[in-house]
Amino acid sequence: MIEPVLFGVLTPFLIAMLAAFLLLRALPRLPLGIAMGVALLIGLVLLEGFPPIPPIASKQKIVVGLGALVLIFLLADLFSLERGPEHAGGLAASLLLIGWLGWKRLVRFDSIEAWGVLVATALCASGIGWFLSRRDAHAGSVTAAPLILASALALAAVAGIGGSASLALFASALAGSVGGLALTGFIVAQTRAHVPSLGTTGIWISSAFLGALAASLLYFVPDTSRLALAGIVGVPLSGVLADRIPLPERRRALLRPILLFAVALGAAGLVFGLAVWSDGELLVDEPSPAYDSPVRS
Amino acid sequence: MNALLRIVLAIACPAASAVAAPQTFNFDTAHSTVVFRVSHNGLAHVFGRFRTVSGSVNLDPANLSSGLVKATIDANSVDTNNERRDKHLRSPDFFNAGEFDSIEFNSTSLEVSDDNSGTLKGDLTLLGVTKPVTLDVTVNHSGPHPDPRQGGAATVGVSASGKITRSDFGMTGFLPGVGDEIDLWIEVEAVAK
Repeated sequence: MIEPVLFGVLTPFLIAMLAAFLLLRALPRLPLGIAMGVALLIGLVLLEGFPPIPPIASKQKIVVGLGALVLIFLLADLFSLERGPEHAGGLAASLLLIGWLGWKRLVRFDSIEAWGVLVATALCASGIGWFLSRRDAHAGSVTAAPLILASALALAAVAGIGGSASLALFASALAGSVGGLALTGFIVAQTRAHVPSLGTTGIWISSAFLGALAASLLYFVPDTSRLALAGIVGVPLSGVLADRIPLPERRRALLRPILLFAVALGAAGLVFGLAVWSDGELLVDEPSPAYDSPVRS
Repeated sequence: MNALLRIVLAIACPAASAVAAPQTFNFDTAHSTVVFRVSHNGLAHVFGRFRTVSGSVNLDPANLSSGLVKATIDANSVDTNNERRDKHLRSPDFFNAGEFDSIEFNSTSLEVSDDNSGTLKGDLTLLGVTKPVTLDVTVNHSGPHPDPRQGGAATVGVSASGKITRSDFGMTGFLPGVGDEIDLWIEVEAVAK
C-alpha cells in the first residue's frame, strides 16, 4: 500500500505546493485553484493510469470529467466570471458529472432512487461549493482550503470503511492536492498582505469531485454508510462554528486556518465514528489485505 | 473425422441424419461452476467461485466456429468463503459489481485436437472490457443423461480451464500483492432444450 499512498497523496501534495508557488511568482493575481486541479489530475492518473476515451468505468469518467472541468473553470477564472453564472456552472457541472456516472441506473425503469442520488449529491456538492466560494471570495484560500481538506479526509474514511480502497485513494488525492495548496496559501498569508484565493477552479472542482465520489459510493458500493456520507456535509459547515471562536487579532492570520482545520477535522472524526458505528469494521487492513481467517477465529 | 467433432455431431444430430439441425443446450445451473485461483502475496493461492452461472451451448454442425458457447456470470455471486473479502471483491477495487453486474463469455472458434479435447477461443467481457481468451476444453460426456430420472435427455458435460491477466481488463486493485494472473476452471453440464 506504500505506492498508492505515495502516488495518490504525496505526489499531488508536492505538485500542488510547487505549482502554487510558481503561480504566485509568475501570475500573482490568478487564483491558485488551477495548481490544485492539475495536481489532483496527475495524482489520479498515477493511481489509475490514463483513462480510455471514451471512459468505461465510473472512476475513469471521474478523471476525464475532472480534466474537462479544470479547463472550463480555468476559463472562468481567467475571464473573472460573475458570481451568478459561476454558481449555476458549479451546479451544472455536478449534475452532468454525476448524471454521467450513473446514467445506466437513471434510465432504468425502477430508477427513482438513482434520480434521488443524483439530485441529492449534486445539490449538496453545489451547496458546499456556494458556501466555500463565499468564504474564499471574502478571505482567500486560507479559510476554504482547510475545510475542503477535512471533507476529503472524511470522504476517504467513509469510502475505505464502506468498501472501496480505490475511491478512498481518490478522495485522498484531493486531500493531498488541497493540502499542498493550503500550505502554500498559509505560508504566503503570513508574509504578504494579499491572501491568495482558490478561485472558481479550486472551489468548484473540489465540490464537484466530492459530489462525484459520494455518488459513486451510493450508486456502486451498496455497503457504504449513507448516514456517514450525509454527515460529510457538516464538515465544511463546521467552519461557521470555528468562526465564532474568538482569536487575538495579532495572531489571527496564523491561528485562523489552524483553528478552522482543527474544528473541521473534529467534524471529520465524527463522520468517521458514524461510519464505523454503522458498518463496524475497516475493510482494508494494513500492511496487506489480511482478512479474518477461520483459523484465527 | 476428429473425435471431438464426432462427439459434437453426435450430440447435435443423434440419429446421424444427413441434415444436422442446430441444437441448443442450456447450462444446468445447479451443476455448472466457475472456480478461480489467485496468488496472495506470493504466499499461497486463494480459491473462489461464482455461485450464479448461466449460459447455453448452441451446436450448429454446419458452423462450429461461432456462437458455440455463451455464458453469463453474476459478478455479485463471487464467493471465497469469507464474507468480508467477498464484499471487498464486489467493490470497485476488483469486480465493481455495482457497476458491472455480469461477466460475459462468447466463443468465437473451436479448434479440435485429439480424442475428446480441444481449444475454445472466445471473447471475455469483464469490467466492460472485452479481450480474447483461450480455454482448453474436454468433453467428459455426450449423449443421453446417465441418470434415468432425467428421461434420457441429451446432455453434454464439459471441463475447461484457462488463464487471464486481470490488469488487461482494468482490474488493477491491490497489485501485485493480489496476483495479476488468474487461473480458471469451468465445469458445465448442459441439457438440450
